[in-house]
Amino acid sequence: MVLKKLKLVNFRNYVDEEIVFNHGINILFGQNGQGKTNILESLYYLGLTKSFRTNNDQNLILNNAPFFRIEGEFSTDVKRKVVVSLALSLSEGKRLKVNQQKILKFSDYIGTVPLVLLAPSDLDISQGGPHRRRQFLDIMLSQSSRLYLHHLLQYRRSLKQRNLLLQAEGMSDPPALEAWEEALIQHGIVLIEKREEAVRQIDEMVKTYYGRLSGKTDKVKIVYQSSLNINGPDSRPEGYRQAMTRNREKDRQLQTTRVGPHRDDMLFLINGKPLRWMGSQGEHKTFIIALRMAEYQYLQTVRESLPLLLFDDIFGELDGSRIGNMIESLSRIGQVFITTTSPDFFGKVENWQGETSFYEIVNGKVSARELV
Amino acid sequence: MPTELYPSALEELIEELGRLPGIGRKTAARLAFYILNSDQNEALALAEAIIQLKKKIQFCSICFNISEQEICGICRDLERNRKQICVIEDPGSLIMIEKTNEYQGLYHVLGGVISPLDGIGAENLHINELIGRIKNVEEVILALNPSTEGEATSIYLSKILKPFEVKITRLARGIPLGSHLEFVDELTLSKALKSRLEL
Ligand SMILES: [Zn+2]
Repeated sequence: MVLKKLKLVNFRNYVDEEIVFNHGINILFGQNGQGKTNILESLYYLGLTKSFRTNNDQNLILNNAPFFRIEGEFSTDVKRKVVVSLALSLSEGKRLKVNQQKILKFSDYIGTVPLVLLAPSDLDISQGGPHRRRQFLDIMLSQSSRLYLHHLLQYRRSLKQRNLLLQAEGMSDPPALEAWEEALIQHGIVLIEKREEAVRQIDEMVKTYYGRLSGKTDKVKIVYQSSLNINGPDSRPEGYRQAMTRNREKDRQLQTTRVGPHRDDMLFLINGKPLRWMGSQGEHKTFIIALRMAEYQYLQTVRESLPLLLFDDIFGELDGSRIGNMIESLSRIGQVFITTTSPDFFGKVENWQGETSFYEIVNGKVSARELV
Repeated sequence: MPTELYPSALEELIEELGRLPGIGRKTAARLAFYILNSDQNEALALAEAIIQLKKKIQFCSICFNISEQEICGICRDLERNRKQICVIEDPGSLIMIEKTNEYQGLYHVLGGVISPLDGIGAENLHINELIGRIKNVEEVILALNPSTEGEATSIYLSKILKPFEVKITRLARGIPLGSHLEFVDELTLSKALKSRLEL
């Protein structure tokens, strides 16, 4: 996928802006608070119909405006033109169109514009609680498989239904509880299996990238940790069912479902020790970059399409040779969007011969610049 | 959002229309203004149609299909196979199945699906009435919509019908006729694979 043109109307601090982008690397530079990250946010929103900075979509609308609209004109790898338009209005909610056709089910659309974002808050993935690690897997897998997203949505809905039954006092209708448990098992098993398979695949990739980025011989490893503790795929539905039955009384007391993929985790290891507790700040950073690059490679492989790569202000603390390594590592690099306060920094990047374009951002206005 | 203040008769109609499924306040207001501007006879005909609908149409006391009599045409039809009951969510599904001309058994309209999130439990559906009909039946066909709630309701029904030793089947999920495999979405294809048939 290549983004040719982006149009933003009433989005964050952009009133009405049209930007033409190029292949290769697009560098968005400017002082803080001018709206660099807002552009990445709009791209992310276009691909995933959600923001990575807020859960309240109304925060994205320019002050006092009744709506915002993001429109992207893409060219696919086979040179087909795709125009995606996503609008949110206070009176009519969210509306999505692809090539003028209205899309009613957003889940049918996710993955059309695959993308990977690397942002400073990603350090929470390796340093924080399990939620961000599950989210990492869910976003990657939802972009790679519509089937995964379907099971994920069904699973979440069934989970809400069961939890509500657990909370309802005197609602001691076991068949009703069992019905939702069966639904959880049916969808949950697919989630667990797809996640385990994906973890096996990205584990290999992360190992390679980590080695290349750090230049050291440290061994990293990723292990999927299921809250269910079921051995072997054959015993899965039965083992899952037994776990649900075993937990029912306790779940009822706590009014929530305590096992299943919504409680699973990934364990990151460095030289056999948990990275979360033992890793240095530098090791965490390198690991997260390796993880995002693995995500990029994974999506590229399964979708047979190059995702957009978004880097939000992560280079301040990295040296030029490391970034050179990183970009060189992405074997078939597609289109990259980078925000930074110091554009001259890229003069220092070694090993980079690809096409690079510069855009200066001042108070919600974008101008293409030639850099001398 | 601030509530706009219309004369009370207009406001009342907007509120009533806004209760209809899929109609927000904006659409309700548009419809209300349309009715306000239409001529007297047209408006009266609409009101009369609604009154007649509620007067003449009732739910069959056996299967809960819509009917002009206490017992619907299908339940009264002695030619139909009384050993089979097809369970559906709403009368709309019944009409679709009838159109196929493939089914000669009876029906049972549940009146929805179980969904605690929407405040609908088993006790709000016609499930006890279904159990009451099951004595002389050989097969119950579950034909609920393949939504999360439809699937869970099917599982629920199969659990509570189990003690009655009746054969329970469900509709197969397949590939739309006349479609090329390449254009069938992966979800449909995966479900069709799972419910494949031996030849
Ligand atoms: Zn009837």
